[in-house]
Amino acid sequence: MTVNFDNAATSFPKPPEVRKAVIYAMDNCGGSAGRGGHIISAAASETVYRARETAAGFFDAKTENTVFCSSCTHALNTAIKGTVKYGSHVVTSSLEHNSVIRPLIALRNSGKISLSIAKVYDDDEKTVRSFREAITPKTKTVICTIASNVTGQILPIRKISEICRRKNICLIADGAQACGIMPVSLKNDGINILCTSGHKGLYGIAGTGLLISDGKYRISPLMQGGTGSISLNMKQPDIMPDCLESGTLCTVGIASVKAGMDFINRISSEKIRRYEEHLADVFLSLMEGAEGFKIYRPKNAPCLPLLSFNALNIPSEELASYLNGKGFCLRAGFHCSALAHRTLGTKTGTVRFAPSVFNREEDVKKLCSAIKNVL
Amino acid sequence: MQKFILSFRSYTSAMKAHSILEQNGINSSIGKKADTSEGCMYTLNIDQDHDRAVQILNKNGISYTQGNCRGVRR
Repeated sequence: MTVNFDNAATSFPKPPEVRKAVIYAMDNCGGSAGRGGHIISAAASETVYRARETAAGFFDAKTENTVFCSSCTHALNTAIKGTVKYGSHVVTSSLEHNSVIRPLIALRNSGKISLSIAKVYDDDEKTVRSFREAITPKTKTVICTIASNVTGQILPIRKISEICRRKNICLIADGAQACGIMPVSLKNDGINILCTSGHKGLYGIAGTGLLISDGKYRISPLMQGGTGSISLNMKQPDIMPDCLESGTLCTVGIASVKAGMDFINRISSEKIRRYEEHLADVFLSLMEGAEGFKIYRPKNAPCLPLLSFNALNIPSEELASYLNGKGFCLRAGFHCSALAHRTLGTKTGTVRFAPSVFNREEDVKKLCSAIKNVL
Repeated sequence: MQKFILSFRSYTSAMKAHSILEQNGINSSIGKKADTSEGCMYTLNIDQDHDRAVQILNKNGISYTQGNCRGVRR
């Protein structure tokens, strides 16, 4: 028996329709999307376009502003490096993943930007105040995760976006954990650029990501190269999405992301989240208050169904290794989130519990029993 | 019948135009052309309601140019 509770890294297993879509794309869409005019290339092009349409509908965006990337990290680097202005000030949150903080630190260290980190609190009002206080007249960009990959805390993105809109600041949101599990809409949430992975809550395969823009801010490409369009011009085309999609796209991966979104649309993200929340509640009800056990999850802020924990006398990697031996796959350590772990004050990292819609309640109970056996 | 062909700078714009026209009951087929000044471009071959097709695309803010091509029909 192997049970995956590491769905915040990569969801597994995938819905059956994702597997089918991958096999179909492998068998029938083997050409280069948006390149040749022949029938094999055309099949790949149409597959990518249909996925683009689905993603645009999923996040309330225009088809042409929906860009396929190789990961959320790729999307975030494109969004961050493609929009920040030389000499400008950038604000980010204290719960960011390294895919946000590392590009920002690199930009700051090269003297291109100045950077402030807005502390995130259990209390949304305090968090919003923290962002308001960090913003200066030189602030041109705010980059903020929608939900933490360590504690699951959902940030007050709509309130932050209101501030950004009033001050004409570009808001880039990292939706890696949130997308697919809670509704995310560029229009309703006031997000200018949304970046997400395809292989987590969207149920696609690894090697997929999305950048979705509302079109307000121009994004300079991270890479230049072949786009299959305006090919006699040696300058990179300025049209979206071609401008940001140099190189042959991963048709199979993109087909998998579409199938994942179709699965979510069929089940509804509301139902998925409710079920996963139930699993998180089962975990919490069995583990909260256990001696020698600490849970990292804010009490007064909304959260996604994921959380971190520690057995106080066992290093996180040791605990995860023990659980692995019992058939439970959980990720330990610092979850590529140095800033978030520093904010939480975890010295040796944590173990993360991240269920998916394919987990069963009885497996959560067995996991809790296994943890209690070593406390 | 005389062919009515629109050119687009990207496959996405051509497909978007194709989808919008389809939703409005106008059939079209996508092709590819090698434009001597721009390079690779995409075309939409429209067999019917040319004026209405153009009106619909204009209304939806889709940019195109008119021109001939030898594209592959699907």
